[in-house]
Order: sequence, then C-alpha cells, then structure tokens
Amino acid sequence: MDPPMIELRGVTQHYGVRPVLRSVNLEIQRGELVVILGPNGMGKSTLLGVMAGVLSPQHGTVHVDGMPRKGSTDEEMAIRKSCVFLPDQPWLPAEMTGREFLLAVGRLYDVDDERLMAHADQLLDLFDLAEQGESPIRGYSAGQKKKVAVCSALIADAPILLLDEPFSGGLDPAGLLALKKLFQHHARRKELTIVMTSPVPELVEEIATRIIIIQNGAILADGSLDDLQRLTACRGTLGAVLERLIYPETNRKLAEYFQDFPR
Amino acid sequence: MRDDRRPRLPLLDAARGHLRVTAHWAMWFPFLIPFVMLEGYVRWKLGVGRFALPILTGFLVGWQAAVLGAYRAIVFHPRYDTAYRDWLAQTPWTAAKPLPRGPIHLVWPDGLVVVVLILIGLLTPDVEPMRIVSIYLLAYCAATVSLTLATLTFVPAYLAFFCMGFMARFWSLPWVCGALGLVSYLVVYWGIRSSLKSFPWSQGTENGPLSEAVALALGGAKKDKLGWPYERLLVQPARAFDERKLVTHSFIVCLLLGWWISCLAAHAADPVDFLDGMRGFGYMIAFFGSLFRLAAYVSGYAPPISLAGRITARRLLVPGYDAAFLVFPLMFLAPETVVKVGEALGVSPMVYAPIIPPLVLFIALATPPGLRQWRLTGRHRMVAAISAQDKNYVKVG
Repeated sequence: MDPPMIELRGVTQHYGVRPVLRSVNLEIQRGELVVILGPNGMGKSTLLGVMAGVLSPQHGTVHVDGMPRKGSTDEEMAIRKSCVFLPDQPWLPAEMTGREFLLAVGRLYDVDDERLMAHADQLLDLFDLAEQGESPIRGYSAGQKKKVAVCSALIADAPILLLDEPFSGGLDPAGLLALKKLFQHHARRKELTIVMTSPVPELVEEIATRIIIIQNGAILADGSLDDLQRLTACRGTLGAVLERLIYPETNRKLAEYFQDFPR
Repeated sequence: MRDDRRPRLPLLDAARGHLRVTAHWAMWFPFLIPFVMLEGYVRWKLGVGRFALPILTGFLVGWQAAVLGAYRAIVFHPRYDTAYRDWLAQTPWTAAKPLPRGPIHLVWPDGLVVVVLILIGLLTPDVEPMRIVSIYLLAYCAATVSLTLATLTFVPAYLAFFCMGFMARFWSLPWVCGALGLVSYLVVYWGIRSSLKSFPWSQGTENGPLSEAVALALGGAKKDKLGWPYERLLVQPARAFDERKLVTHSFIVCLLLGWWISCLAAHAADPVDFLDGMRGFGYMIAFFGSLFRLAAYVSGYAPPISLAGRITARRLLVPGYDAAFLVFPLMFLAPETVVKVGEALGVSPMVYAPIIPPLVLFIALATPPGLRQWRLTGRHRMVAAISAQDKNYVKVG
C-alpha cells in the first residue's frame, strides 16, 4: 500500500499560552478531497499551516509523500514543489498582470513552458479574466483578486493542494461553480490530493470525499458525509449534521432567546 | 548631409569608439575644476612648496585615478546593469563575441587616460607617476573582482584578491607595486573571460533560464517578487551554498581578509594602535554582521511560540529556532578572546591582531544554520511580513 500523501502524528501547536492543536493524528491518501470544518478559532487554518510547513509544531511530526517536513533542505524543497499552499489572505504583486503572475508562479513550480502558457490562458478564460488578465492586479475587484489567487494554486500542477477558505473572498456564483467542478475533477480524474478549510458546509458538501471536523484543537469527527450522518443519527444535510455535532449549544441558546420574545 | 568622400581613418574611428568607454568627458569636470583652482591658487599667490595644498592636489589626482578605474570596471559590465544583462541574455551573444556596449577589459585608450592623469600629476611635486598607474589598476581590479564574484566565478576572483594584497604590501615601492598591479590585472582578465563564458548567470531564483515565449510574456515583471506565500515558500536564495561550500568559501574569504590586513600591517608604526584598530574593526564587523543576520533571518520568520507560550509550555529553548541567534554572542566575544589568547601566549599584537576581523567575519558568515538551511528547515513560523502600506503588493480577502 502506498504511504499516505499527508501524515500527521501527535501534532501539538501553540502560538502563545493556549494550545491551538492538541495531539492531532491524521492520514490523507492520494486523490482524497478533504474539507476541514469547524467553528472560528478552533484550529482549521493552523492545521493547514502545519501541513503546508509555514508553522513548526512544538510536538509531533508531519510527513508529505513519505518525506518528513523540514527534515533536510533537499526533501523540504521537494515537498514545497509538490504542494501548493494558498492562505485565506494571500498577498499578490500589485504591478504584475494576472497573466504574468500565473506564469511566474508556474515557473516556480517547474511547469513546462508550453503547458504553462496554454494553461494560464485556459484558467483566465474559465474564470472570466481573459481581458482583465492583461492589466495589473492592483486594479482588480476583490473577487477578481481571489480568482487570480486560486488560479495561481491551480496553475502549479502540484499533486497536493492546501487551500484555506478557497470559496470565500467575494467569488461570484460562476466562479464558485467553476471552482467546485474543478476541485471535483482534479481529485477524481487527476488524483490530486486536495485539503481545504471552509466555514460554510453547504459549499463543500457535494464535493468533499472526506470531512474532518475540528473543535478545540482536536479532531471531533472524521469521515465521509455518510459516516458523519451515521455518527449523529441525522440523515439531513452536512449543515444539519454539524448542528448536532458542534453547535448543540447554539441551538439551545437560540431556543432560549426566542422564548423571551412575546408571541 | 554626410560627406562620403571624407577619408576614413580607421585608427581614429576605433579610438573614438574606445574613448567612449574609457571615461565620460563629464567625469573630468569635478576633478579638473578644484584641481585648477587649488594649483592656480598655490602657484600664483604662495609659490610652490610654501603651502600644504600640493598634497591635496596630489590626492585629487589619485582620487580621480581610482574613480576612473572603478568606473571603467563597472559601467559596461553586464552584471552591474540588470536591464543590459537581461537583454543580452535574450540575444545570441556568446563570450567569443565583443560585448555590445563595449569591452570590460582594459584597452589601449585606457592607457591614454592614465597618461593624461600622469601628466596632470607631474604638475604637483609629490605625485609619483607609477603611483597613479597602481591606483588606477587597484581600483579597476577591485571593482572587477567584486563583479566577477557576483557571477559566481570564484577561483580567479580569489586569486586576484590575493595578488592585490601584494600591491598593498609593496605600496611604498611604486615600481614594484605597479608591476604587481599588472600581474593582478592579468588574473582579473582571466576572471573576466571565465565569468563571461558562464553567461547568462543565475537569475536570482532557483529557476533556470526562461524560454523565449515565457520571457516575452513576463516582460519586465520581477519574477521573484510574488508576494505571500509563494515568495516565502519557493523563492530561495540562489546564491545560498550548501553548508560545506558555505564554510569553504567563508574560510577562503576570511583568509584573504587576514592576508590583506597582514599586508597593510607592514605599514603600521605602533603595534598598540594597530591592535586597537583591528579590535575596533572586529566589533564593527560584529555590529554590521548582526544587523545583516537579523534582517536576513528574522524578517518573515517569526518565533514559533511567544515568550508567554514558552514559559507556559515549559519550553524556554526552541533549539530549531534559537540556534540561529547563537552567532550574536559569538561575534562579540571573539575580539576579546583573541586578545586574551594572544596575550597569554606572549605573542606580538602584530601577529594576532590581524586574526580578529577575519575571525569575526568567519563567525558571521559560517555559523550554522546557513540562510538556505534556515529558510527551509528552521523551526520558525513563516509570516507574510508585508506592510499594508507597501504599494508593491495587494492583499486578497
């Protein structure tokens, strides 16, 4: 059996006094489309940052494609070239055009020049940026900036995509649709390993092959939608499952709040 | 209208072409105006030898020789001019062909420039003609060596630096110094040829040369300024050696620095003053070395855990992060340690003082982790480190 594409063993991460991740163990296989869900401030982005190597956990180990993160310079460089990390708030070069930016990122990931040129045009066209792609990023709307950022992750042709809230940031419905279909296609057909976070379960429900729910820095539940429905004895949507799993307190508080209103 | 019947003078045409690269005419004014004023004042009012100003005019001649020598080395060098270098990389130019903007090695009209300076120098009583030749060659060689090093052509550059040390050692013997200058130039010329043969040099990132289509599409965009996170994760210093090479090159550079200091020490009168000077030089290297290491190692690479977190988690030391800062106390302790050891051994300060600056520099350059190792394997927390006021980047979300 192939080693997992991403493997975390006993990962504990502090920034300050409070641990953000507590002894997390996780294995992600090739071709999985994993969505990390959970309330704000519970460790979703931190977990992704640890996988991406931008954070150094205080305890535990991270392996990517069988290689330890930050083990040696050569291995680390190989890992970095095999996975793209897109944070929720990236910074883009203001004076570059969208097309130039995509080409430059593709070059960083050693994408073949011919493929790079063709792919950049395809992506810009897919996300309705064909015209805008020739002007500096500085003049883009929030949604267009987000689209270019997402395109930069896709143009790298890397086997692992680590994406922090790719559906947020003002994407229009056409952009959301394109992105969902792309992720689904890339995971199924190209066997890309995609790990993403999302605060909105409805957006990822239909594409996720695996859902990891994180709360207070620990994994609360891990499995497919069917697994989570069985776990919670709820046949509803992912939103309904989440209500049972991590928001029972919210439902109780809402009930109390509404009781105070006269009929 | 061009007169085609005008007789062609190939030698004059060639001289015009070469004179264009030897020294821009405007460079003579900042030298000639104060020189004429000072010399004129001394000769007409006070008489030669009655006032100390001839020393100043001699200095002006030497200064002009140094400026012209450095100018000659730098201005037409493709390593110095990024736009020229990038353009040249896209042409079919090879080292077998002349450089389009003009040669970067010395050509015979450069000799004319030196002769003019010597003739001007003859007006002042204290200027030795061979001294002007030496200064010109030293400035030219020093500037060329630094550019040769920047093209990663190490052996000729190090050897030239070593030869130039002999020039410093025999400075008081102008003809010997001049002859050593010619030897140094020959080594520098070898370096120029070697470095041009390896053109195009590294582009500053780990990428290879661009294909024509991508180069055209990218235009003048700065390919290594890609914002967060790409810049931090994948644009690595191309000139960061692996650990063994880093130590080797640092060692050679420091040996050469020590060699130069020992050459200069031959002119030092008082051993105590010399020791103080070297100690001060050592602390200066430690100070600027600290600033450089701080800027290179800390910007964008934050501690993995706050101080409060360290205390709470009972992990006061994070070896994978804190190791990068061991270099600071080492650099500042080195000068006094060398002095104490030298005194304990009863050796003359003229022997151990030249060790101080190279040792501090060696610590600054070679103390692990190297920059590449730190950026790739250090136990830090990478952050964007881009200010909201920075007009070069825009934030998404």
